[in-house]
Amino acid sequence: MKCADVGKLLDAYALGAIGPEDTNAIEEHLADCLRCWDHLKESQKAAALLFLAVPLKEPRKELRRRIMAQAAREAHRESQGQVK
Amino acid sequence: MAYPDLSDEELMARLSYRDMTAFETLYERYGTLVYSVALRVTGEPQVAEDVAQETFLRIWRTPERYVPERGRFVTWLLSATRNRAVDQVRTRGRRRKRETTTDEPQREPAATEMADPALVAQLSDMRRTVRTALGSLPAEQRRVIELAYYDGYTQQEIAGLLDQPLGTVKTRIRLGMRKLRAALATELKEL
Repeated sequence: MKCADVGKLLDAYALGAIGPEDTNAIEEHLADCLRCWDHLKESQKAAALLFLAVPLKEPRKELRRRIMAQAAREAHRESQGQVK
Repeated sequence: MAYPDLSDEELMARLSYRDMTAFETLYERYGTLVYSVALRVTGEPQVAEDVAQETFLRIWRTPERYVPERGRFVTWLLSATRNRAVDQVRTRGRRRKRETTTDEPQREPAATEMADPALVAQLSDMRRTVRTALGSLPAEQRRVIELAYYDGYTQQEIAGLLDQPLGTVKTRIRLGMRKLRAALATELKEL
């Protein structure tokens, strides 16, 4: 793919809307093209901002407890020298 | 310096020392947002909790995956949440989701939920601006962007869903995103 073709797909790529075949071609191009990479970063930032618009819902308090308990367990295992 | 006064990036740096308080502070800041994003994508509270749990635990296990030079923590976190949520939806197979749209009444998290008042104010302003920008798009452009990003459909799938030519879907995504970038130029500079 050339820059012009990739450029047209970068917004969709940043939104995760590209199928597997085009994704491979785009990623091959991006690996060698800093200019397209810079454009992609702008698209990705705009995409990430979209999630600030979602309706906020509070999770259950239980979720925090579960996450913290698991994190503490893993840290403890690490400090005991066990494999994660 | 008290933990709530530390930036996201400073808190992330402390995770490499297994600083539990830093981790808890990040959860206080973003737990609601991460869960809300996961819920918007998956449509199921139980799955959204699992996604939020895995997202936070991944941060705890491998904080070095976040590279500050590549951008702000919050955008990285939300992208990671979205991708994990979409993977879940694809793995489990799509099912009918409860419709949640950006037109729903919104509420901002109370200051007690997000410990840093300056961050609360900044995120609150950004949320308002993003909602306005998204709401100002023509409905057909907004629809394809939401189907792609929030619901995890590819362009081809969207074309099928909406019974529109693929080229039309591609054009709508490009035009819509171009308008969003223009409307959010100030916010994008801060990221």
